[in-house]
Amino acid sequence: MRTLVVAAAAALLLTGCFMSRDRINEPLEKQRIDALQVGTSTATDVANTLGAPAEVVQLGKRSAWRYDFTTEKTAGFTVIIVSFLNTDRRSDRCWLFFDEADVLRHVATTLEAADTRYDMPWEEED
Amino acid sequence: MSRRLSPGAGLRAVALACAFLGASCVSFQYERELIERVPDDSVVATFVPGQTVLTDVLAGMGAPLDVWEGPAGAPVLAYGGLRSAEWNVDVSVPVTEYASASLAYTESRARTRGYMLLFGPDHRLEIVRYGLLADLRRTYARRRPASVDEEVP
Repeated sequence: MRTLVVAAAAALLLTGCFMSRDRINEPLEKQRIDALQVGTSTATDVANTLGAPAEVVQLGKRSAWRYDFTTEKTAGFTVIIVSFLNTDRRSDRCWLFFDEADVLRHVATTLEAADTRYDMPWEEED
Repeated sequence: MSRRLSPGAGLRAVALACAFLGASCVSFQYERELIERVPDDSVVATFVPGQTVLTDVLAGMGAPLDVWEGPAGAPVLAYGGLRSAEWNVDVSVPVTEYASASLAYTESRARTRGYMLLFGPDHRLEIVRYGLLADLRRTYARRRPASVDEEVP
């Protein structure tokens, strides 16, 4: 009985839980993106409203700009030498497509960074 | 004839096992990764090359994971997500008194798969492919001549 208690105590003491969160860039503000007008806003307007993009892609004589904000949450626990980890990474992304005259032609926004969760590896995904 | 360990011997055995395992150079790790949302196949199935335009794809799929320049200078959109779950074994081997080497063995290497949608110059959908996005990008990206550094006398 005493051995069992000692073994249980040892297992408990050698178990550790941990959580961590990483964030890349600043969160996107939907109101600012919505303020941009397709067919009217220019690249200068976009830069003044959203700041510098994370990436600029040349598309022939046109271009596309990317803005994003990424959240990564990691949760897990360790029992002596065995670790169980779950990493969940999602992002807010906005791509803006400009024509040859640098006028905004298309906007696509996906906001999912807030859906990132601290789950255990065996938990069901949403 | 059965022989039972004394409580003191059991305690020592547990302590010894914990000390050995706790200081071990071998560790096991089970890791699940959920990276971005996996694209909806049923939405992609509604896109028709030659008919669907860029606006339709952006409205149906949202912001792509990646955009690059296609062979004709038109956009290529990539949508993908990663779902992986695997066991890893980490082994650390002492090499010298002052250094050690670490060997990580991964049972399977997961990479992001997804859809690539290539558009023509008129922004009409031309090609839809499913696969490893890194491979698709290598195949369907425009190759520009590399810049040449000139020496200034």
